[in-house]
Amino acid sequence: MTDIGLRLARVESLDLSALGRTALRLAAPPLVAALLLLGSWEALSRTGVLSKRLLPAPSLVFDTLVRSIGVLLEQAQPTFWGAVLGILLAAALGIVLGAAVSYSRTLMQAVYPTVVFFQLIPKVALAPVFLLWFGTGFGANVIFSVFIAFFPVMVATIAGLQAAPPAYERLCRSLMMPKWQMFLTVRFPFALPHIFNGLRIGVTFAVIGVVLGEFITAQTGLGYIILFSANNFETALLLAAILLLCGVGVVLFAFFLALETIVMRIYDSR
Amino acid sequence: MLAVAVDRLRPIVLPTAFGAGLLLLWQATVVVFDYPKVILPAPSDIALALHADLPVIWQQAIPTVRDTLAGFALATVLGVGLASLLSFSRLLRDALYPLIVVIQLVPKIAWTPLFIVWVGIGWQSRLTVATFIAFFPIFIAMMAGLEATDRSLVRLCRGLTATPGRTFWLVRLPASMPYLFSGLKIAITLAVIGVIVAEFISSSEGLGFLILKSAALLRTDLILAAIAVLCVIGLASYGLVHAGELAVRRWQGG
Repeated sequence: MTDIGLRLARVESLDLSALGRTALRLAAPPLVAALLLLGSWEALSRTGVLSKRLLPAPSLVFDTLVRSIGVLLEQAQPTFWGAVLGILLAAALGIVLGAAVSYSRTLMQAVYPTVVFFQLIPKVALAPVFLLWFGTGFGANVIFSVFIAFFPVMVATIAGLQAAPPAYERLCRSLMMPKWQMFLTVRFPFALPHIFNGLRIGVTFAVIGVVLGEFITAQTGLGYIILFSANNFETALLLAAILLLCGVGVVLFAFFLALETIVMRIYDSR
Repeated sequence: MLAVAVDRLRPIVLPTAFGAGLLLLWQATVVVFDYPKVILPAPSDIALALHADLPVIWQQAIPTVRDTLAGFALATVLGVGLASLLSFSRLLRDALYPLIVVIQLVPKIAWTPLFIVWVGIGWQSRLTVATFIAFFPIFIAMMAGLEATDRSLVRLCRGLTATPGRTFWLVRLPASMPYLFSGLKIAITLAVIGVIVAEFISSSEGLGFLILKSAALLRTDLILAAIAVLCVIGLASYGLVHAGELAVRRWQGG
């Protein structure tokens, strides 16, 4: 008995070190490449090959980030909360409308091409119209963000709700399951991976929507800082603001990734 | 017979009817509630503006189309080229691919002002923005396609002592085409968006410029007429990519 236990333990520890080695092998090349890129960028800036106006050294960008962190964090707030509100409203609207449209096949056939059409056209061009309708404040940015984040979610929901295997639906029908119960227990769970796919696209669109609104109205937010520093050739501040914006994007993206993992685990365990 | 015909026409008739219904509802809303043209012009107003100002819109559409297509073409060359290059070297692939995937997560529109600082406010900045934002989906899709090649085919090639170049040309490249085209379809819509945003921020030509100028002049009908033309451009360029996909598929024999 102990013999077997020992051997199992050894196998496990072997696996762990192998896992560590795989992780190292995967992580080392990109890290080295990133360090090489940053190092040569820094060196080129120090020697003056790259002008400070065009591309300031990474160290200078970092310094600016630390020095202006107060202002940057303050301006990041409308951008962050605007994108959060945008994607949450777009998710609610997209999922509910997608489900409502999928309820009837005729309705779905009528509406789906129109939604796909809106998906294909360059909706950012409508930003000035939205500002004309809703003013130039935080609210207008959120509404525009909902408008462009909504379509990928709705398209994904409609596509996902068609994804359940027909055999399952036949089984449910022969068990005389009511339509809403079939929706909850079969069609919606099968649609979830699609919906989360749509949400992931929607999140990046929501951020773009808010930033674009800030570009055009130029009053608050990281978009405003980016435009302002570009106009004044303060490229270090511009890059610092972009870095923070990346942070906003990554936080939101990670949130939905985590939500997806949790929801899928709950559904899988049932 | 009639039932079959009706059933076949459903996917065409239903969406057309829905679209026409939306436009009618829009027209009726404007007429009934008597909205001022500045706030919400009726579809008929937009059609009139489109007719009256067609020369202006046409003139501004040319730079937009030119920059979009040029940026898209450049992004295709760069994306396919880099992905092909990385498929030959494992080390290079392991080093660069994760970095590009991370950069891809960034809201890329936000970089537009930086490019304007770098290359000025002319067509160069619009071309750069369009190329930059169209590059990522093409590169990622091409990488996925080259990775997804049937392993046994690659092993067979190696067994038949084909050079890596020949294996790439005869097996991996054809196998990656469906992936590539799904990336190209995303990229073409993004290229239009990139050019428009760059024109919003700083430009003296293009449909984005016309839209912003009309907004300042409160010519909402002209904005929407320009957007209608922009939709046609977006759909036409998407259709072009789709036609390219069909042609490649037929050429590949299947």
